Amino acid sequence: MDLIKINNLKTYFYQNKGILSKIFGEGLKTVHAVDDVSLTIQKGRTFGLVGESGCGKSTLGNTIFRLVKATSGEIFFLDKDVLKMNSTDLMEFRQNAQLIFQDQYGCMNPRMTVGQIIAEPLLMKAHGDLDNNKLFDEVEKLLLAVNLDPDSVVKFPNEFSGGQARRIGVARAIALNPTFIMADEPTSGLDISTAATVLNLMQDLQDEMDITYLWVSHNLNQVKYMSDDMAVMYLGKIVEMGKTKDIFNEMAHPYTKALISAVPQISTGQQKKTIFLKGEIPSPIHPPSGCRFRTRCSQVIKKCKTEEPPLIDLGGGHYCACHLHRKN
Amino acid sequence: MKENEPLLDEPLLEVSKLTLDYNLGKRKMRALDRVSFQIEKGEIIGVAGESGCGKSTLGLAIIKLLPKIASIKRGEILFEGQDLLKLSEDQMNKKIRGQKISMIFQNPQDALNPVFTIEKQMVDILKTQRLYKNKKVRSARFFRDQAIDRLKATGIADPAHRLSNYPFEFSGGMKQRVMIGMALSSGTSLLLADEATTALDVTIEAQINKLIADLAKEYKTSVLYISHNLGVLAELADRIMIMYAGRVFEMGTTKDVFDSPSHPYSAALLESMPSRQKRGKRLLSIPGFVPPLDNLPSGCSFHPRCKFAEDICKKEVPPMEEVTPGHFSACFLDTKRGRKRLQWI
Repeated sequence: MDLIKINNLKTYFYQNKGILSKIFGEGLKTVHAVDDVSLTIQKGRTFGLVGESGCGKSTLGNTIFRLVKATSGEIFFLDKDVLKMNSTDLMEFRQNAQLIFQDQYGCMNPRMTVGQIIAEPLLMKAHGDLDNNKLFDEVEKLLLAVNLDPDSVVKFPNEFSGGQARRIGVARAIALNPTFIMADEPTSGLDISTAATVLNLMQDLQDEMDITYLWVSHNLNQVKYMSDDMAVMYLGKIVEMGKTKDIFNEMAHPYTKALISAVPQISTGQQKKTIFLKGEIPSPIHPPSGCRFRTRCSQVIKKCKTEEPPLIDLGGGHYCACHLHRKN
Repeated sequence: MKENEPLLDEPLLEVSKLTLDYNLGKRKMRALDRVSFQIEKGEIIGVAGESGCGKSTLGLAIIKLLPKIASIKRGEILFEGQDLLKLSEDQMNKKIRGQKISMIFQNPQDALNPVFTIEKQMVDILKTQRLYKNKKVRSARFFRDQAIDRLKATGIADPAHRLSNYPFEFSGGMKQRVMIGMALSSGTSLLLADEATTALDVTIEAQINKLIADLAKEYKTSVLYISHNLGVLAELADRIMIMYAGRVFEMGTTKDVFDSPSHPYSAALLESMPSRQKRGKRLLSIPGFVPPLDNLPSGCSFHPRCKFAEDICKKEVPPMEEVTPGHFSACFLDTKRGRKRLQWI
């Protein structure tokens, strides 16, 4: 079942909007953060979204939650378009869809205790009309669910280690039994062993509560391990999408190949060949014409400069946007 | 991974029994405890461990950039035969820092001054380097050309034009290249890289690491590469040193340590990496926490978290022992049991 269906989503940001830059500046600049993205996230599965920084993966996630304004397109959550929801519907949507943020301390009010932080969504949902005992039970249950000591309700966020703080973020996210969680770099900045704790926890929760994850990360090893489906983004566009297994086994797009080859591996005998990309990701203000990856691609053909490759199905739901893979 | 070459001359750097405390009021945190190792010329050593294991402190201790609360209790840092710990600040600045030993940090944007151009900052460094002080040519043009050469060596396109840019006009990867260009003068024999690519994207990280490896090869520069990313170390380093709570737990060639770790902690680190597990299988998370440095457990500091701990581990500190030639491990377990016996899950 499709939980989230995104059609032709565009999110643009505008620079130099002010009057002074209109007079003296170079005029309005458009940042094509998310440019014509369509994807489907199925219920109960994990969808991994990977790409380099600046490729628009976080913006895409934030647009789904209407934390940034979409320029055009549709985002269906079940059968309702998130972009057209009124405030009542939006309120309900935001109970079903939750976020786990990258900065585990920054997303918590340092002056609130952990108990208050986790209780807040519960109180919001009940419009403040919740029995104290019941509330306390709920908070305790949530803390136990993320393997934290229930006595820590009186502590403040700064008293926790990075991994623990991240788990508090998870507890808050699951407080309202959401069906969908977006995890934005959920283990960045954590040690290997601590990251493993968080990953195990999130998998357990998925099994217990049937949660759908949108897993935004630049860590390809983790996406390979965690996700069922995945999409690779480059400069606001999806260049390859499909089942994680298929993509890692038969990567089709030159960018995906380079990205996967660049991931450091602890080799098990065979020598790995790293494809070194030239230069860096171009500016999303003036993306290259035609295929956006052509400035760094080693297999450029004439067509790449003039014509933008569409995202086509290579078979079995494995999509790729590259001229090299188009049928004659 | 490179093959072990026969060692012809004495090591470039020899750290022996380095012990260091951080004094926080009454609390004494032992950040390094009898750390001993050697770096040969042109060798890349990878230092791995969880945060708080003392790997950054080790880098700072070698170049003597420690905060005031740190005090070195014991040990020697022999660099090209002289003990760095006996040198004065002035001597360090004149002879060692930025000349023979350089350091690159995790955040290049913090290491560059935002209000000066790259040219100004690079030329300032060049002027202090002894190598150029002795030369008679000291024209601005000479230094500018040197700076251009450095930028070119680190793979920055159009270096002459880029010199007049300010740091904010460079991307993260570019800034790190500038830092490497500054760090490597032709006299540099040891480069300390502390999480040099942690803040970068994988594709850029691969570029920078290749640059470091190439430069190390070309100039015979030794590198102490500190990172928590075991994958990066596996690809870059000749030898690996695993640290935990201020102590060295295991040391050996990259192949030895990663293919047949003989310390339970190294084995655990490898098993908690998602790259080694299949989808759906649980990852290992080592129970418990890294102990606070002012309250370390008795005996082996890892014993409360170790699945294989025995009685002796609680009482005595395990000495570093040679498991196979060149592969050292500090564990009481019969290390010859090999990896099969170190299965955590």
